[in-house]
Amino acid sequence: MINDYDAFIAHLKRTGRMKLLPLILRELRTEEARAKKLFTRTETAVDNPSLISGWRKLENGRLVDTTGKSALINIYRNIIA
Amino acid sequence: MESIIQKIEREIAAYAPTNDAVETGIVRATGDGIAEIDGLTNVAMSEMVLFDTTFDRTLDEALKDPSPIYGLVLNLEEGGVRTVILGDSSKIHEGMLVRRLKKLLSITVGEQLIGRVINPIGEPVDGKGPTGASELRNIEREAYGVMDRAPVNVPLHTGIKAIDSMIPIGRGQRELIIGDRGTGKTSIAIDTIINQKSEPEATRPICIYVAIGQKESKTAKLVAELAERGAMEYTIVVTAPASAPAALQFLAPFAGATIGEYFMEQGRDALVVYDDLSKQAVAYRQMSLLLRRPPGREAYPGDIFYLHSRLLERSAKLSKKKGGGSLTAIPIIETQEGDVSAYIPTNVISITDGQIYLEASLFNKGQRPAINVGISVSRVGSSAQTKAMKKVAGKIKLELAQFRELEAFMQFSSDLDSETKKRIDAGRRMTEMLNQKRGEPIPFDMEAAVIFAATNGYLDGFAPNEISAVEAKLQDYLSREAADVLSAINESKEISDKSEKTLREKLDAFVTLHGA
Repeated sequence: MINDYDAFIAHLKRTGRMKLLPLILRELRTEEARAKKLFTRTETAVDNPSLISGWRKLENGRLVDTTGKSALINIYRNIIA
Repeated sequence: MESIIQKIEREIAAYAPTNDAVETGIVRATGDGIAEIDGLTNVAMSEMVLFDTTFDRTLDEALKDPSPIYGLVLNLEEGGVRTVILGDSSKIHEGMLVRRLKKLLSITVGEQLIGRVINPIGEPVDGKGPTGASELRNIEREAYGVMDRAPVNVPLHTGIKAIDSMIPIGRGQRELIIGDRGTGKTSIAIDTIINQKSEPEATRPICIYVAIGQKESKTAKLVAELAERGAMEYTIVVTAPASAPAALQFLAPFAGATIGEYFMEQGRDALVVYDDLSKQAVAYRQMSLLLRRPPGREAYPGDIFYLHSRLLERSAKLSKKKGGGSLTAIPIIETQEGDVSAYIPTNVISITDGQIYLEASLFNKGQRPAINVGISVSRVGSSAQTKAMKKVAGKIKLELAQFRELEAFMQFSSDLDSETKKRIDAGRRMTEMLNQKRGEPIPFDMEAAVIFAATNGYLDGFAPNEISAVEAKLQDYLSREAADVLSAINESKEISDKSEKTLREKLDAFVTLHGA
C-alpha cells in the first residue's frame, strides 16, 4: 500500500508517468474492495440466531464453522439425497 | 423401514462439531457460466470447489434450495481463479462464499450404473433414484502406457455387414464415424450397441453412450429404443444435452471414458460412443473464450487437439498382466457440407485408428448405411477379424473397387459388352447385399453365411433389385435349416471344411427352392 501520497505523486511527475495515475487508482480501488471482501469476520449464534448454535470465523481465506446451521443443512442433504 | 424422523435423530446424535478450517474464496464476478473468485490461493488446476449457497441465508431459505452447485477450477491467475460453474449459474452471485473441496473433479462408478442414465457428474437423470455407485474416480487421468497395453486382436462385431466385412473394428480400437448431419452416424453406433446382445454374456462389452449437446427428445428416444431392444441391460447413458452448461458438455466424454475404464480395469470389455465430439469441441471453445484463453484456428483454443487426443488415448487393450480388459471408442464427428478438411475433423481423423465415412449423396441414393467403403479404413481391425470373416470378405473390397471404376459407364449400359455388364451387375448385387436397414444388426455367424453366399455366386441368379428380399428369405432359411452350421461358425469363429460343405449344400437347396 502507499503511505505517502504526496511523495508518490511527486515521484510520478519526476519520472514522467502521470498518465498511469488513473490505472493505479483503479487498481488500488480493486485491492481495497478485495480486502473488504476478505476481511476477518466472526459470527456467533448469539448475534445471528440463524446460525442456531456455535460460531464461525472467516479469516485470510480460511473458514472455521462450528455452527448448528451448516450441520443441519448437511444432515438434511444426506437424508434427501 | 426406517422413518425420516429416526434418520434425523440418528444423524443429530452422531453430530460433533469440528474446528477444521476450510479454505474459502469469494466470488468477484460471474456471468456466462464462469465465476471469477478472489482467494483460494492454494487451489489446484481441475480441482472441484463448492459454491456455498447457504452461507448468508437463513436456515429456512437455505433448506428450500438444498442442491449443491460445484465449480471446476480451470484458470489459476494472480490474485484469484476462474472456474466454470457445473450447475445453475443463475444462483451464483457476487460475494458468495466458495469452499475448496481438495479433490479433483470425480464421479462415482460401479456396476450399479448399468441400465441408468446419468449426467457427467454422475447424478442420475432418469428419475430412478440414487445410483448407489460408490467408487469415486477422477474424471481426468493419464492414459495407460506402452508396457500396459496389448495388440488389438479381438473383434467387436457391429452387426453391420459393410463394417464387419470391410472395416472391422477390434476391441480397444478407436474408430471414427464421420459424416454430415442426417447421414446415419448415430444409427451405426446404436446398432453396434444393440448387436452386443447377440454376444455371449461373458464376453459382452458394457456399452456407454455419451450424448453431447443432443436434443433431450433424441436422447430419450434412443434410451427408449435401447430399453425396448433389451440393450439397457448392458448399457449406461451419459447425457449432457444442448440445454446443459458448456462445462458439462465438455466433461461428458471424460465421464464416459472414466466409467469405461472402471470396467476395463476389471478385465472386461467396454465400448464408449462419443456422440459427438464436434459439439464437445464447440462447448470447449465457448468455455475457453469466456475464460479469456487466446483463440487459434477457427477460434478454437490452442489445446483443442490435446483435448481429443488425451480422451481417445484412454481407449486401450490392456495386457494380460493388467487384466486383459479393453476400452473401445467410437467417436462421432459431424462435418459441414462433407468438409473433412476442417480443423476438428482432421484432428480427430489423425488421432483415431480408422474412419467410417458417411456420405449424404449415398444416403440420398438409398444406400444404408451410407458408408463410402472406398475411403473408409480400419488401421488395426483386420488383425482382430475372425478367420471366418476374413475368408468370406476377402473378395468384397476388390469386387466393389472394380464396380466403382465401371460405375461411370453404367448410364451407357446398352452399349457395354457382356463381361462389363456382368461385373456391373455383380457390383450392384454386392452393394444391395451390403444394404441394411437401421436397427437391424445381424449376428456375426449369419453375416458370415450371407456374405459367403454373395461372394460365392449363390445370389448371381437373382436381379440386383431382388437381392434385399432374397437376403431376408435366405436369413430366414439359414436360421431354420442351417442352425448347426451357424452355431459351429459362431463357436469356432471360422468356417471349417465341414461347415463349408454343409453350408454349400444348404445354399444350393435354397437357390433351387427359390428358383434362381
